[in-house]
Amino acid sequence: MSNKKILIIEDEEALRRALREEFAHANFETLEAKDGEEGLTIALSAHPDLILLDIVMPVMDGMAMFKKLREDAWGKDAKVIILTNYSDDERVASAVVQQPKYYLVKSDWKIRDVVAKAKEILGG
Amino acid sequence: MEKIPQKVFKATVSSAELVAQGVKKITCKISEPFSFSVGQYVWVEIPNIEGETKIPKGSRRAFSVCNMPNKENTISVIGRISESAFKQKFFAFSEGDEVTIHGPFGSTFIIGQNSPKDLIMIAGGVAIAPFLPIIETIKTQSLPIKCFLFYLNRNQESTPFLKELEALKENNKFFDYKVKYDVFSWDDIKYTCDGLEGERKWWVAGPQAMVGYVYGELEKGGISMFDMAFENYYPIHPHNLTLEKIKEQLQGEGILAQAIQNSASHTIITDANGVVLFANKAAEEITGYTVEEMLGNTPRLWGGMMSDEFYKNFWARKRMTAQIFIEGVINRRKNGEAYYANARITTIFDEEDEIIGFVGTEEDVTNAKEIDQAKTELIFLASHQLRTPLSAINWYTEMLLEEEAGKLNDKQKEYVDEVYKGSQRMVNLVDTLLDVSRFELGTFVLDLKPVDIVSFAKSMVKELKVQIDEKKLKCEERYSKEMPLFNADQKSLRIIFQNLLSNAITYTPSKGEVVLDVRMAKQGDIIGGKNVGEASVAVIVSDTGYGIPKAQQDKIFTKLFRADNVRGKNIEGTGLGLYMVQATVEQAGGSIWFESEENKGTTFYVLLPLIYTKKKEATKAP
Repeated sequence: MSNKKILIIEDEEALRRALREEFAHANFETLEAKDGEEGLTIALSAHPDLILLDIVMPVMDGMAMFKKLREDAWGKDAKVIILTNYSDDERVASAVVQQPKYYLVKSDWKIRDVVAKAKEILGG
Repeated sequence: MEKIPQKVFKATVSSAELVAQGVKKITCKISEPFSFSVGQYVWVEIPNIEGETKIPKGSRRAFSVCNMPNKENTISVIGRISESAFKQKFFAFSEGDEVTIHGPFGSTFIIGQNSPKDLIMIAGGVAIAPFLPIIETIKTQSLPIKCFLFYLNRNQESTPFLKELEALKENNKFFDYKVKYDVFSWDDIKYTCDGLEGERKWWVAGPQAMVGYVYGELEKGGISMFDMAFENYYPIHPHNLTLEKIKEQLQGEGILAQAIQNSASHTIITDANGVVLFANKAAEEITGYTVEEMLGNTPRLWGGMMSDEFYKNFWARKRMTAQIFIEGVINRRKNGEAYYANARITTIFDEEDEIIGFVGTEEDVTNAKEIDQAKTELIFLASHQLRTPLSAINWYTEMLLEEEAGKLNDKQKEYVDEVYKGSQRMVNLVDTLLDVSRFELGTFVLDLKPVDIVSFAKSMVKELKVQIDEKKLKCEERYSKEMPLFNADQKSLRIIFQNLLSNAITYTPSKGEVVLDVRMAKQGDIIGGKNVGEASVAVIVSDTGYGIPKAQQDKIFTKLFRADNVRGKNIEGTGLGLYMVQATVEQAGGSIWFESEENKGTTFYVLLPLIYTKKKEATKAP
């Protein structure tokens, strides 16, 4: 399970840092991006094992990035965790229709559980 | 059914008799062969009424034929002698007077080979007319129909055909009846459903307001509209308000007339049937219709101001202690634009306590609504924005508590733990605020999926186990054995269970008892003293807690309300929980009520219909 590569796309620095440290603590190799556009560039060149994607972001938001990612030959099968502020956020609902396999709820989840979920996805 | 030609016939009155106080039966012999079906009606026309100035004018009226088709070509009609010039004159007719009969005309009530097994008729006063020949037909043709008549009247003296009905009941097994002299309700008839199987039809005839009210009661009892049929008429009371009376009083130059004309509130006056006789300038401005367009119409022209209560009070003929107040009705201006209004309806009575008309006022509250909406949107956005910093607080305190950034001493751990708990509470509050604003903005989307309600309920109790144990409460769970999967929105169920259970836990002193009872409720079952209208899942949460003070029980579902007896107890609460529960239950088409006694406990009852019917569409407000 060690040395899996995770890309954290999150505009809030504090949250990005918490995720980075928690994942590093769990022996992940972490990559970071502060918006969807940057995230897409990194994802397509670095091909991480898992992408953690925030929805509300400047420049290119999470859903736009997700759509573009799915247009790519590698990206169409990339594993993505969508981070959202609210469980029934309409954008999440539409994201589910587009079949991302997993999504999380930011405030309701403990950060440990976010890591546990990531491990579960990569292990399965 | 055989097609019967409609024609004009000359006829002569062959008998006229008083069949009850103020009720006359007139039989006319038609000069040529006349055929009709039972339950049909005719127009009776009488020669020119001279000097007629009263409203409504006209020399003919519709009457249901109350006898059987016969070889003598006679028809009988009954009616109440009223001040209307037509009825005054017609019911004074005696043998030999000439009338013209038009018809016969179609009938709502058709009896024949394909009739239902059970027939329940509900008649208001003289509207019993169409039912008499129907009952007679069932008897003479020995049709396989059981027949029950609910006969609604003001008092015994003015009720026609009581002796005849009694005789019919005594001599025939297929027929039974009940006379009622006060307000009729679903409770009066529900027992007729017990033991009856097979197809059943409900036929209702009477004054328009009574029919409207009975319809509501039957609907409450879970009767499908497709099993009901109606025939209504528009009664004219002796002192009914007329255009002339209104004109006399309001169209002059008097101070009162000017005050009402120029009031900023939309004001209308209607007769007892809700027909508009007067409308002021504000009514024109708000609805966009001119006075001329409104006169002669009912307020339905611009919306539905006539509520169930309107019909109920009308039918009950009871003097209301207060006006009917309807908040936030959505009406429509002539140009199609919707507007919000608060409406008030006051009944006008004559000296004999007869309803003679209504005064309706409306205030256009669209602006206030819009401001309210903007406020809700602000709360929604603010709550949403709060979540990111809350996540940061939660995650970092969590990391501190996990001692990832180094060891904490006991005191530090305790402090950080408090920060964490506080932040968790804030997350819950923000979630509730988001739910509330979603509801108020109409953006709470239901995601209906089959739910195993028992597993769901068990998981909810499990989530609250810590609090239950902390207070050493006895928690009993009762589940019906065979609960069907039912379509529900899990988010809504969560709001209902979470709030009711956590309230029961919170407001019960330690060592008390909380009971969760989840069971099937069939139509006709009695749950918490109420009759179950349609098959539902019943969720009953009771506790032995502080209870809700009697004086405040009517406010318990109000937003931000908290009862006095718990304010001093240092118990956390937002006053949003029950408000949300009620909104959620109603959105699911269900109902909620409670019983409570101070210091004894409270029981909440929730019924969630097994088959979800969209009763309150969650739409985006304009």
